[in-house]
Amino acid sequence: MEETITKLKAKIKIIETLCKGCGYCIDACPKKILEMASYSNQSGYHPARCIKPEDCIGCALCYQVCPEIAIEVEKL
Amino acid sequence: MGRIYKKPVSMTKIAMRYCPGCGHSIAHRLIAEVIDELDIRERAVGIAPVGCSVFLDEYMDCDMIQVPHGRGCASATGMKRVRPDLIVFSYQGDGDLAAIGTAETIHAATRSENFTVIFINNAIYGMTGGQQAPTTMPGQKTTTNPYGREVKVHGYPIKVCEMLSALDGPIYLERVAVNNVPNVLKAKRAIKKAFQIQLDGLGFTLVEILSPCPTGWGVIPKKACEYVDEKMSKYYPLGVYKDLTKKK
Ligand SMILES: Cc1ncc(C[n+]2csc(CCOP(=O)(O)OP(=O)(O)O)c2C)c(N)n1
Ligand code: SF4
Repeated sequence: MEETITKLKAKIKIIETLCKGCGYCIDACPKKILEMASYSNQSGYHPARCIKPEDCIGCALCYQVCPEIAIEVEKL
Repeated sequence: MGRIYKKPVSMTKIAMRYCPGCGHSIAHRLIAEVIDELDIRERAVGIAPVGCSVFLDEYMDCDMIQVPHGRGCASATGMKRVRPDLIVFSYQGDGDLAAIGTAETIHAATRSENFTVIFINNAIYGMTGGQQAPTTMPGQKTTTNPYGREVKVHGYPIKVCEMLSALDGPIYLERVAVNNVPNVLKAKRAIKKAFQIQLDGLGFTLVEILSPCPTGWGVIPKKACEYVDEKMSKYYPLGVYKDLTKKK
């Protein structure tokens, strides 16, 4: 399951199949737009998801702490 | 067009099989980013250890070899001496580098062999089930000492950076952590500097990385990161322990 949403400042993509739900990105995000999904992925983890992609500023702090490299950020 | 942050070129597409929140995978990514940025992928050779990171050779997309437990520095010495043009790095855990491989590490450091060691300190033997390591802190509970490390019985932990800084050989020793964004960025700078010193042919470099091991410590990932801040980096202070680049 891949999710790509394009908006103003940046593009964030969370590869949910890779996510192990550690939650590091949720704490790292300064805009607090990441949360843990209520459903689980194929490995049984609740993946992180972006609830307001349009608010992403492209700082990529979530990318910096993600152990699985499950987050890709493009600053536009 | 701004920057794109995604998996570095020096990593394969294979998904990493670490526990949720493990610091190993962050360290892998930082090494790969540094290899990309210094443009040395074609001549980089990495050494995978025994431990949770035994499959490092699958994750890195550069030449890799997996060596017996503790022998990273010995193998790196051989490789670098036969092919000084290669950029050699040895990736080792604390059970690997500070227990079974102590002798190899100290002697490679004192000979100032020109390669880079990435030393993952998670204060525990991760792969074998969370037993006490030489780096387990006083009072820290593990599966082999459920009441906590007692220094009268088990002795004191080995502080690798402090110990090696007493030698004349090492050129650059730094202790960093990968438990939050500022520390991750600092860790990357340290790894890059170590590789650069090797490129300049100056000698032995080691970067010690305090790495969360939520499974071995029996806590959730977030608590493991806090533990690194509150306990580990108090006992193992972060910082540069030796830097001879200015003098050489
Ligand atoms: C010669 C030898 N002795 C012992 C072992 C068993 N063994 C496998 S992994 C490991 C500990 C690894 O711990 P560490 O280096 O701290 O890495 P971590 O798993 O914590 O990343 C040990 C003792 C082995 N594989 N080979
Ligand atoms: S046991 Fe610890 S070091 Fe090993 S993969 Fe799990 S979290 Fe990482």
